[in-house]
Amino acid sequence: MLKSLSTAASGMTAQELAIDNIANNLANVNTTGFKRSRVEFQDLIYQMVQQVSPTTQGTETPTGLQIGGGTRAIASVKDFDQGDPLHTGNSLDLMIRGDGFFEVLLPDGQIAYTRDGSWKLSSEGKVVNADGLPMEPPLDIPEDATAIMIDGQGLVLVRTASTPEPTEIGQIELARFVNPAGLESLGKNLYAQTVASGEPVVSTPGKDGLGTIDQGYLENSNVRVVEEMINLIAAQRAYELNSKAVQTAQDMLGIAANLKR
Amino acid sequence: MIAQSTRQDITANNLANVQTTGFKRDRLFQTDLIDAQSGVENGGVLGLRQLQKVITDLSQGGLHPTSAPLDVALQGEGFFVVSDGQKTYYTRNGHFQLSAEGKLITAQGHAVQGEGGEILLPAGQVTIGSQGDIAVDGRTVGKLKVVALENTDDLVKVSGAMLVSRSGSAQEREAQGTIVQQGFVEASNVDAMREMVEMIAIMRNYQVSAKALQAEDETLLKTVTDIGRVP
Repeated sequence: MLKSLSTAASGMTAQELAIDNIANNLANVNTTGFKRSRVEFQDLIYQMVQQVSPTTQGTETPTGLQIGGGTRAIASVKDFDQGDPLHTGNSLDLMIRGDGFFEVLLPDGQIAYTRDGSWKLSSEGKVVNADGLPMEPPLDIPEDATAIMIDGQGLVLVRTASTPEPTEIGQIELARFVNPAGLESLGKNLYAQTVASGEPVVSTPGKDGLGTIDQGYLENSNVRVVEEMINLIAAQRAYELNSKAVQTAQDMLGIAANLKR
Repeated sequence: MIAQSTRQDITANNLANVQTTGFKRDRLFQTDLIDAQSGVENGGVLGLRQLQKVITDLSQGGLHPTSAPLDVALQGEGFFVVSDGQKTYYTRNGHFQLSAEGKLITAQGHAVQGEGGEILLPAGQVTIGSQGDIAVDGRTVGKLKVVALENTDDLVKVSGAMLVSRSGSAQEREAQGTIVQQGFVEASNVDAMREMVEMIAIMRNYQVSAKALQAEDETLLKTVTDIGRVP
Protein backbone atom coordinates (compact mmCIF):
# COMPACT_ATOMS: atom_id res chain seq x y z
CA MET A 1 0.00 0.00 0.00
CA LEU A 2 2.64 2.47 1.05
CA LYS A 3 4.71 1.23 -1.88
CA SER A 4 2.10 2.58 -4.25
CA LEU A 5 2.51 6.01 -2.66
CA SER A 6 6.28 6.16 -3.21
CA THR A 7 5.94 4.67 -6.69
CA ALA A 8 3.49 7.37 -7.73
CA ALA A 9 5.72 10.00 -6.10
CA SER A 10 8.66 8.86 -8.24
CA GLY A 11 6.44 9.27 -11.30
CA MET A 12 5.52 12.79 -10.25
CA THR A 13 9.17 13.75 -9.64
CA ALA A 14 10.13 12.40 -13.07
CA GLN A 15 7.37 14.37 -14.79
CA GLU A 16 8.48 17.50 -12.95
CA LEU A 17 11.92 17.08 -14.52
CA ALA A 18 10.34 16.56 -17.93
CA ILE A 19 8.42 19.83 -17.53
CA ASP A 20 11.62 21.66 -16.43
CA ASN A 21 13.27 20.40 -19.59
CA ILE A 22 10.38 21.50 -21.82
CA ALA A 23 10.48 24.94 -20.18
CA ASN A 24 14.18 25.21 -21.05
CA ASN A 25 13.50 24.18 -24.66
CA LEU A 26 10.73 26.77 -24.96
CA ALA A 27 12.89 29.48 -23.35
CA ASN A 28 15.50 28.84 -26.06
CA VAL A 29 13.11 28.90 -29.00
CA ASN A 30 15.02 31.86 -30.47
CA THR A 31 18.56 30.98 -29.34
CA THR A 32 20.94 30.67 -32.30
CA GLY A 33 22.31 27.15 -32.70
CA PHE A 34 20.29 25.76 -29.76
CA LYS A 35 19.39 22.07 -29.89
CA ARG A 36 16.32 20.81 -28.08
CA SER A 37 16.65 18.03 -25.51
CA ARG A 38 14.35 15.42 -24.05
CA VAL A 39 14.45 13.44 -20.82
CA GLU A 40 14.91 9.70 -20.93
CA PHE A 41 13.26 7.59 -18.18
CA GLN A 42 14.03 4.21 -16.69
CA ASP A 43 11.96 1.87 -14.51
CA LEU A 44 13.31 1.14 -11.03
CA ILE A 45 14.18 -2.16 -9.40
CA TYR A 46 11.52 -4.81 -9.01
CA GLN A 47 10.68 -6.36 -5.68
CA MET A 48 9.92 -10.07 -5.47
CA VAL A 49 6.83 -10.03 -3.26
CA GLN A 50 6.18 -13.71 -3.75
CA GLN A 51 8.75 -16.17 -5.01
CA VAL A 52 7.90 -18.79 -7.55
CA SER A 53 6.56 -21.59 -5.42
CA PRO A 54 4.83 -24.92 -5.76
CA THR A 55 1.10 -24.77 -5.20
CA THR A 56 -0.94 -27.26 -3.24
CA GLN A 57 -2.09 -28.86 -6.46
CA GLY A 58 1.43 -29.89 -7.34
CA THR A 59 1.90 -27.27 -10.03
CA GLU A 60 4.17 -24.26 -9.90
CA THR A 61 3.09 -20.64 -10.06
CA PRO A 62 4.42 -19.64 -13.48
CA THR A 63 5.88 -16.31 -12.44
CA GLY A 64 6.48 -14.87 -9.02
CA LEU A 65 4.81 -11.73 -7.88
CA GLN A 66 7.09 -8.92 -8.96
CA ILE A 67 6.20 -5.32 -8.30
CA GLY A 68 8.11 -2.37 -9.69
CA GLY A 69 9.14 0.63 -7.64
CA GLY A 70 8.44 3.45 -10.09
CA THR A 71 10.55 5.47 -12.47
CA ARG A 72 13.47 7.89 -12.61
CA ALA A 73 15.06 10.15 -15.19
CA ILE A 74 18.42 8.79 -16.36
CA ALA A 75 19.52 11.07 -19.17
CA SER A 76 18.68 14.19 -21.08
CA VAL A 77 19.30 13.60 -24.74
CA LYS A 78 19.92 16.29 -27.36
CA ASP A 79 18.29 16.13 -30.78
CA PHE A 80 20.68 17.48 -33.41
CA ASP A 81 18.20 18.14 -36.21
CA GLN A 82 19.03 21.03 -38.50
CA GLY A 83 17.50 24.33 -37.38
CA ASP A 84 15.93 26.75 -39.83
CA PRO A 85 18.33 29.12 -41.66
CA LEU A 86 18.04 32.79 -40.78
CA HIS A 87 19.42 35.28 -43.31
CA THR A 88 21.45 38.10 -41.76
CA GLY A 89 23.81 39.15 -44.55
CA ASN A 90 26.60 39.60 -42.01
CA SER A 91 29.88 38.27 -43.48
CA LEU A 92 30.92 36.59 -40.19
CA ASP A 93 27.57 34.89 -39.62
CA LEU A 94 28.09 31.27 -40.62
CA MET A 95 25.70 28.35 -40.69
CA ILE A 96 26.61 24.67 -40.95
CA ARG A 97 24.32 22.93 -43.38
CA GLY A 98 24.49 19.28 -42.33
CA ASP A 99 26.52 17.54 -39.67
CA GLY A 100 29.35 19.12 -37.67
CA PHE A 101 30.37 21.70 -35.09
CA PHE A 102 32.58 24.78 -35.01
CA GLU A 103 35.43 24.52 -32.52
CA VAL A 104 36.32 27.19 -29.96
CA LEU A 105 39.27 27.36 -27.61
CA LEU A 106 38.32 27.67 -23.94
CA PRO A 107 40.55 29.72 -21.59
CA ASP A 108 41.78 26.46 -19.96
CA GLY A 109 43.09 25.16 -23.29
CA GLN A 110 40.23 22.70 -23.83
CA ILE A 111 38.22 22.66 -27.04
CA ALA A 112 34.47 23.21 -26.94
CA TYR A 113 32.05 22.65 -29.81
CA THR A 114 29.19 24.83 -31.01
CA ARG A 115 26.58 25.15 -33.75
CA ASP A 116 26.28 28.89 -33.08
CA GLY A 117 28.06 30.56 -36.02
CA SER A 118 27.58 34.22 -35.04
CA TRP A 119 31.27 35.12 -35.10
CA LYS A 120 32.67 38.56 -34.25
CA LEU A 121 36.00 40.32 -34.65
CA SER A 122 38.06 41.03 -31.54
CA SER A 123 40.09 44.22 -31.09
CA GLU A 124 43.20 42.27 -32.28
CA GLY A 125 41.44 41.14 -35.45
CA LYS A 126 40.81 37.58 -34.22
CA VAL A 127 37.61 35.76 -35.07
CA VAL A 128 35.83 35.11 -31.76
CA ASN A 129 32.36 34.05 -30.63
CA ALA A 130 29.94 36.31 -28.72
CA ASP A 131 31.73 35.48 -25.46
CA GLY A 132 35.16 36.35 -26.90
CA LEU A 133 36.38 32.76 -27.19
CA PRO A 134 38.63 32.36 -30.26
CA MET A 135 37.77 30.02 -33.14
CA GLU A 136 39.95 26.92 -33.42
CA PRO A 137 42.10 26.74 -35.59
CA PRO A 138 42.71 30.50 -35.02
CA LEU A 139 41.65 32.85 -37.79
CA ASP A 140 43.06 36.39 -38.02
CA ILE A 141 41.51 38.96 -40.28
CA PRO A 142 43.92 41.67 -41.57
CA GLU A 143 43.19 45.17 -40.26
CA ASP A 144 42.72 46.68 -43.70
CA ALA A 145 40.28 44.01 -44.94
CA THR A 146 37.34 45.47 -46.82
CA ALA A 147 35.50 42.24 -47.54
CA ILE A 148 35.54 38.70 -46.12
CA MET A 149 34.42 35.80 -48.30
CA ILE A 150 33.92 32.28 -46.96
CA ASP A 151 32.98 29.50 -49.34
CA GLY A 152 31.07 26.27 -48.68
CA GLN A 153 34.29 24.35 -48.01
CA GLY A 154 35.37 26.84 -45.33
CA LEU A 155 38.07 28.59 -47.35
CA VAL A 156 38.47 32.18 -46.07
CA LEU A 157 39.39 34.90 -48.58
CA VAL A 158 39.78 38.65 -47.94
CA ARG A 159 39.98 41.67 -50.13
CA THR A 160 41.94 44.66 -48.80
CA ALA A 161 42.18 48.26 -49.90
CA SER A 162 45.67 47.65 -51.31
CA THR A 163 44.99 44.24 -52.96
CA PRO A 164 41.70 44.21 -54.86
CA GLU A 165 42.23 40.49 -55.76
CA PRO A 166 40.88 38.15 -53.03
CA THR A 167 43.68 36.44 -51.10
CA GLU A 168 43.41 33.27 -49.04
CA ILE A 169 44.05 33.79 -45.32
CA GLY A 170 42.78 30.64 -43.68
CA GLN A 171 40.64 27.55 -43.58
CA ILE A 172 37.73 26.86 -41.22
CA GLU A 173 37.59 23.33 -39.83
CA LEU A 174 34.60 21.48 -38.42
CA ALA A 175 34.34 18.53 -36.03
CA ARG A 176 31.76 15.78 -35.96
CA PHE A 177 30.88 13.01 -33.49
CA VAL A 178 29.56 9.50 -33.92
CA ASN A 179 26.98 10.11 -31.19
CA PRO A 180 26.40 13.87 -30.85
CA ALA A 181 23.47 13.11 -28.50
CA GLY A 182 26.11 12.13 -25.94
CA LEU A 183 27.75 15.59 -25.86
CA GLU A 184 27.66 17.53 -22.61
CA SER A 185 26.03 20.97 -22.66
CA LEU A 186 28.27 23.61 -21.13
CA GLY A 187 25.79 26.47 -21.53
CA LYS A 188 26.45 29.51 -23.73
CA ASN A 189 25.68 27.30 -26.77
CA LEU A 190 28.82 25.24 -26.13
CA TYR A 191 29.23 21.47 -25.92
CA ALA A 192 32.04 19.35 -24.53
CA GLN A 193 33.18 15.94 -25.69
CA THR A 194 32.27 13.02 -23.39
CA VAL A 195 32.85 9.29 -23.28
CA ALA A 196 29.39 8.77 -24.79
CA SER A 197 29.88 11.14 -27.72
CA GLY A 198 33.14 9.50 -28.89
CA GLU A 199 36.26 11.19 -30.28
CA PRO A 200 35.76 14.12 -32.68
CA VAL A 201 36.56 13.72 -36.38
CA VAL A 202 38.06 17.04 -37.51
CA SER A 203 38.13 17.86 -41.21
CA THR A 204 37.29 20.55 -43.75
CA PRO A 205 33.59 21.27 -44.40
CA GLY A 206 32.00 19.07 -47.06
CA LYS A 207 34.40 16.16 -46.41
CA ASP A 208 34.13 13.05 -44.17
CA GLY A 209 30.38 13.44 -43.76
CA LEU A 210 30.64 17.05 -42.56
CA GLY A 211 28.18 19.70 -43.65
CA THR A 212 29.02 22.76 -45.73
CA ILE A 213 29.15 26.39 -44.63
CA ASP A 214 26.68 29.08 -45.65
CA GLN A 215 27.97 32.63 -45.20
CA GLY A 216 25.50 35.32 -44.14
CA TYR A 217 23.15 32.88 -42.42
CA LEU A 218 22.59 31.78 -38.84
CA GLU A 219 21.09 28.50 -37.71
CA ASN A 220 17.97 29.09 -35.65
CA SER A 221 17.01 26.96 -32.68
CA ASN A 222 15.55 23.56 -33.67
CA VAL A 223 12.87 23.76 -30.95
CA ARG A 224 9.45 23.17 -32.49
CA VAL A 225 6.89 24.99 -30.40
CA VAL A 226 3.94 22.73 -31.29
CA GLU A 227 5.92 19.61 -30.45
CA GLU A 228 6.97 21.08 -27.10
CA MET A 229 3.38 22.04 -26.31
CA ILE A 230 2.27 18.45 -27.01
CA ASN A 231 5.07 17.13 -24.79
CA LEU A 232 3.99 19.59 -22.12
CA ILE A 233 0.42 18.31 -22.26
CA ALA A 234 1.64 14.70 -22.05
CA ALA A 235 3.95 15.46 -19.11
CA GLN A 236 1.28 17.42 -17.27
CA ARG A 237 -1.29 14.66 -17.75
CA ALA A 238 1.19 11.99 -16.66
CA TYR A 239 1.81 14.08 -13.53
CA GLU A 240 -1.93 14.25 -12.92
CA LEU A 241 -2.37 10.50 -13.44
CA ASN A 242 0.33 9.80 -10.88
CA SER A 243 -1.33 12.18 -8.44
CA LYS A 244 -4.53 10.12 -8.89
CA ALA A 245 -2.57 7.01 -7.91
CA VAL A 246 -1.48 8.85 -4.74
CA GLN A 247 -5.08 9.81 -4.07
CA THR A 248 -6.38 6.27 -4.59
CA ALA A 249 -3.70 4.91 -2.24
CA GLN A 250 -4.64 7.52 0.34
CA ASP A 251 -8.37 6.69 0.06
CA MET A 252 -7.60 2.99 0.47
CA LEU A 253 -5.56 3.69 3.58
CA GLY A 254 -8.48 5.76 4.86
CA ILE A 255 -10.89 2.84 4.41
CA ALA A 256 -8.45 0.47 6.12
CA ALA A 257 -8.11 2.87 9.03
CA ASN A 258 -11.90 3.13 9.38
CA LEU A 259 -12.43 -0.63 9.56
CA LYS A 260 -12.05 -0.47 13.31
CA ARG A 261 -14.87 1.59 14.73
CA MET B 1 -8.27 -6.19 0.50
CA ILE B 2 -4.62 -7.20 0.42
CA ALA B 3 -5.04 -8.39 -3.17
CA GLN B 4 -6.50 -5.01 -4.13
CA SER B 5 -3.60 -3.14 -2.60
CA THR B 6 -1.16 -5.31 -4.58
CA ARG B 7 -3.14 -4.44 -7.71
CA GLN B 8 -2.88 -0.77 -6.76
CA ASP B 9 0.92 -1.07 -6.35
CA ILE B 10 1.17 -2.51 -9.86
CA THR B 11 -1.12 0.16 -11.35
CA ALA B 12 0.93 2.91 -9.66
CA ASN B 13 4.10 1.45 -11.19
CA ASN B 14 2.49 1.34 -14.65
CA LEU B 15 1.42 4.97 -14.33
CA ALA B 16 4.85 6.07 -13.07
CA ASN B 17 6.37 4.51 -16.20
CA VAL B 18 3.91 5.99 -18.68
CA GLN B 19 6.84 7.83 -20.34
CA THR B 20 9.62 5.24 -19.86
CA THR B 21 11.22 4.08 -23.11
CA GLY B 22 10.62 0.39 -23.84
CA PHE B 23 8.54 -0.16 -20.68
CA LYS B 24 5.93 -2.93 -20.79
CA ARG B 25 2.93 -2.73 -18.50
CA ASP B 26 2.17 -5.33 -15.83
CA ARG B 27 -1.17 -6.61 -14.69
CA LEU B 28 -2.13 -8.86 -11.81
CA PHE B 29 -3.76 -12.13 -12.65
CA GLN B 30 -5.71 -13.77 -9.85
CA THR B 31 -7.55 -17.01 -9.39
CA ASP B 32 -10.32 -17.57 -6.89
CA LEU B 33 -9.47 -18.79 -3.47
CA ILE B 34 -8.59 -22.45 -3.67
CA ASP B 35 -9.23 -24.98 -0.93
CA ALA B 36 -6.03 -26.37 0.35
CA GLN B 37 -6.75 -30.08 -0.14
CA SER B 38 -4.12 -31.28 2.25
CA GLY B 39 -5.73 -29.34 5.09
CA VAL B 40 -9.05 -31.14 4.63
CA GLU B 41 -7.46 -34.59 4.42
CA ASN B 42 -5.63 -34.09 7.66
CA GLY B 43 -8.89 -33.25 9.30
CA GLY B 44 -7.62 -29.83 10.09
CA VAL B 45 -9.04 -26.43 9.40
CA LEU B 46 -9.95 -25.64 5.84
CA GLY B 47 -7.10 -23.55 4.50
CA LEU B 48 -7.52 -21.05 1.76
CA ARG B 49 -4.92 -19.96 -0.72
CA GLN B 50 -5.04 -17.53 -3.56
CA LEU B 51 -2.91 -17.78 -6.64
CA GLN B 52 -1.52 -14.53 -7.91
CA LYS B 53 0.84 -13.81 -10.73
CA VAL B 54 2.01 -10.75 -12.55
CA ILE B 55 1.69 -10.89 -16.29
CA THR B 56 3.76 -8.51 -18.38
CA ASP B 57 1.93 -7.33 -21.46
CA LEU B 58 4.57 -7.45 -24.21
CA SER B 59 2.47 -5.70 -26.86
CA GLN B 60 4.03 -3.08 -29.12
CA GLY B 61 4.46 0.46 -27.79
CA GLY B 62 4.23 3.50 -30.06
CA LEU B 63 7.33 4.56 -32.00
CA HIS B 64 8.66 7.96 -31.01
CA PRO B 65 10.98 9.78 -33.46
CA THR B 66 14.23 11.08 -31.92
CA SER B 67 16.50 11.48 -35.01
CA ALA B 68 19.49 10.23 -32.96
CA PRO B 69 21.57 7.77 -35.05
CA LEU B 70 22.02 5.31 -32.19
CA ASP B 71 18.34 5.13 -31.24
CA VAL B 72 16.62 2.08 -32.65
CA ALA B 73 13.15 0.67 -32.17
CA LEU B 74 11.74 -2.75 -32.95
CA GLN B 75 8.55 -3.06 -34.89
CA GLY B 76 7.18 -6.55 -34.39
CA GLU B 77 8.16 -9.34 -32.02
CA GLY B 78 11.53 -9.82 -30.39
CA PHE B 79 14.11 -8.17 -28.16
CA PHE B 80 17.56 -6.66 -28.38
CA VAL B 81 20.13 -8.77 -26.55
CA VAL B 82 22.43 -7.00 -24.08
CA SER B 83 24.98 -8.37 -21.64
CA ASP B 84 26.83 -7.18 -18.53
CA GLY B 85 29.53 -9.79 -19.08
CA GLN B 86 27.84 -12.45 -16.97
CA LYS B 87 24.12 -12.40 -17.60
CA THR B 88 22.18 -11.92 -20.81
CA TYR B 89 19.30 -9.47 -20.72
CA TYR B 90 16.54 -8.84 -23.24
CA THR B 91 15.14 -5.38 -23.86
CA ARG B 92 12.92 -3.38 -26.20
CA ASN B 93 14.67 -0.17 -25.12
CA GLY B 94 16.85 0.75 -28.10
CA HIS B 95 18.29 3.98 -26.72
CA PHE B 96 21.96 3.07 -27.26
CA GLN B 97 25.19 5.02 -26.95
CA LEU B 98 28.94 4.56 -27.31
CA SER B 99 31.45 3.60 -24.65
CA ALA B 100 34.95 5.13 -24.48
CA GLU B 101 36.26 2.20 -26.58
CA GLY B 102 33.60 2.76 -29.26
CA LYS B 103 31.49 -0.18 -28.09
CA LEU B 104 27.71 0.04 -28.54
CA ILE B 105 26.17 0.05 -25.04
CA THR B 106 22.85 0.75 -23.33
CA ALA B 107 22.24 3.68 -20.97
CA GLN B 108 23.08 1.28 -18.09
CA GLY B 109 26.42 0.37 -19.69
CA HIS B 110 25.48 -3.14 -20.81
CA ALA B 111 27.10 -4.20 -24.09
CA VAL B 112 24.65 -4.55 -26.98
CA GLN B 113 25.09 -7.93 -28.64
CA GLY B 114 25.39 -8.37 -32.37
CA GLU B 115 25.32 -11.58 -34.36
CA GLY B 116 29.05 -11.93 -33.66
CA GLY B 117 29.26 -10.71 -30.06
CA GLU B 118 29.83 -7.10 -28.97
CA ILE B 119 29.59 -4.34 -31.56
CA LEU B 120 32.53 -1.97 -32.07
CA LEU B 121 31.83 1.18 -34.05
CA PRO B 122 34.60 3.21 -35.69
CA ALA B 123 34.06 6.98 -36.04
CA GLY B 124 31.79 7.91 -38.92
CA GLN B 125 28.21 8.08 -40.11
CA VAL B 126 26.22 5.22 -38.58
CA THR B 127 23.33 3.77 -40.54
CA ILE B 128 21.22 0.87 -39.25
CA GLY B 129 19.15 -1.04 -41.80
CA SER B 130 15.67 -2.49 -41.33
CA GLN B 131 17.16 -5.93 -40.69
CA GLY B 132 19.56 -4.56 -38.05
CA ASP B 133 22.63 -4.32 -40.29
CA ILE B 134 24.99 -1.64 -38.98
CA ALA B 135 27.14 0.27 -41.45
CA VAL B 136 29.64 3.05 -40.74
CA ASP B 137 30.26 5.33 -43.73
CA GLY B 138 28.67 2.67 -45.95
CA ARG B 139 30.90 -0.17 -44.67
CA THR B 140 29.14 -3.00 -42.83
CA VAL B 141 30.53 -3.49 -39.32
CA GLY B 142 27.96 -5.78 -37.72
CA LYS B 143 24.36 -6.80 -37.29
CA LEU B 144 22.15 -6.25 -34.25
CA LYS B 145 21.01 -9.48 -32.66
CA VAL B 146 17.21 -9.52 -32.43
CA VAL B 147 15.66 -12.62 -30.90
CA ALA B 148 12.18 -13.78 -30.00
CA LEU B 149 11.73 -15.93 -26.91
CA GLU B 150 9.65 -19.10 -26.70
CA ASN B 151 9.09 -19.22 -22.95
CA THR B 152 8.12 -15.68 -22.01
CA ASP B 153 6.68 -16.98 -18.72
CA ASP B 154 10.24 -17.60 -17.58
CA LEU B 155 11.21 -13.91 -17.86
CA VAL B 156 11.49 -11.55 -14.90
CA LYS B 157 11.79 -7.80 -15.10
CA VAL B 158 14.84 -5.87 -13.96
CA SER B 159 15.44 -2.12 -13.83
CA GLY B 160 16.08 -0.40 -17.16
CA ALA B 161 13.13 -1.94 -19.05
CA MET B 162 15.09 -5.19 -19.24
CA LEU B 163 14.01 -8.78 -18.87
CA VAL B 164 16.15 -11.66 -17.71
CA SER B 165 15.53 -15.39 -17.84
CA ARG B 166 14.86 -16.76 -14.37
CA SER B 167 16.09 -20.26 -15.11
CA GLY B 168 19.01 -18.96 -17.19
CA SER B 169 17.93 -21.02 -20.17
CA ALA B 170 15.90 -18.74 -22.41
CA GLN B 171 14.84 -20.47 -25.59
CA GLU B 172 15.91 -17.98 -28.24
CA ARG B 173 14.79 -18.13 -31.81
CA GLU B 174 15.13 -15.74 -34.70
CA ALA B 175 12.49 -12.98 -34.68
CA GLN B 176 10.11 -13.27 -37.61
CA GLY B 177 9.29 -10.23 -39.73
CA THR B 178 10.64 -7.72 -37.23
CA ILE B 179 11.69 -4.36 -38.62
CA VAL B 180 14.46 -2.31 -37.01
CA GLN B 181 13.81 1.43 -37.20
CA GLN B 182 16.75 3.80 -36.81
CA GLY B 183 16.08 7.22 -35.25
CA PHE B 184 13.11 6.00 -33.21
CA VAL B 185 12.57 4.66 -29.70
CA GLU B 186 9.67 2.54 -28.55
CA ALA B 187 7.46 4.40 -26.09
CA SER B 188 5.92 2.76 -23.02
CA ASN B 189 2.85 0.61 -23.81
CA VAL B 190 1.00 1.83 -20.71
CA ASP B 191 -2.49 3.02 -21.63
CA ALA B 192 -3.42 5.77 -19.16
CA MET B 193 -7.14 5.28 -19.76
CA ARG B 194 -7.01 1.58 -18.95
CA GLU B 195 -4.99 2.23 -15.79
CA MET B 196 -7.48 4.83 -14.57
CA VAL B 197 -10.38 2.41 -15.12
CA GLU B 198 -8.34 -0.24 -13.30
CA MET B 199 -7.83 2.15 -10.40
CA ILE B 200 -11.59 2.84 -10.11
CA ALA B 201 -12.24 -0.93 -10.07
CA ILE B 202 -9.56 -1.43 -7.39
CA MET B 203 -11.07 1.26 -5.25
CA ARG B 204 -14.60 -0.18 -5.47
CA ASN B 205 -13.45 -3.76 -4.84
CA TYR B 206 -11.54 -2.51 -1.85
CA GLN B 207 -14.64 -0.74 -0.52
CA VAL B 208 -16.77 -3.87 -1.03
CA SER B 209 -14.24 -5.99 0.88
CA ALA B 210 -14.19 -3.42 3.66
CA LYS B 211 -18.01 -3.49 3.87
CA ALA B 212 -18.01 -7.30 3.99
CA LEU B 213 -15.51 -7.16 6.80
CA GLN B 214 -17.65 -4.64 8.69
CA ALA B 215 -20.78 -6.80 8.20
CA GLU B 216 -18.88 -9.78 9.56
CA ASP B 217 -17.78 -7.65 12.48
CA GLU B 218 -21.38 -6.64 13.22
CA THR B 219 -22.58 -10.26 13.12
CA LEU B 220 -19.88 -11.20 15.59
CA LEU B 221 -20.81 -8.28 17.78
CA LYS B 222 -24.43 -9.44 17.81
CA THR B 223 -23.35 -12.98 18.63
CA VAL B 224 -21.25 -11.81 21.54
CA THR B 225 -23.68 -9.30 23.01
CA ASP B 226 -27.21 -10.51 22.12
CA ILE B 227 -27.14 -14.33 22.31
CA GLY B 228 -27.77 -15.53 25.81
CA ARG B 229 -29.40 -12.29 26.90
CA VAL B 230 -32.77 -12.87 28.48
CA PRO B 231 -35.31 -10.73 26.69
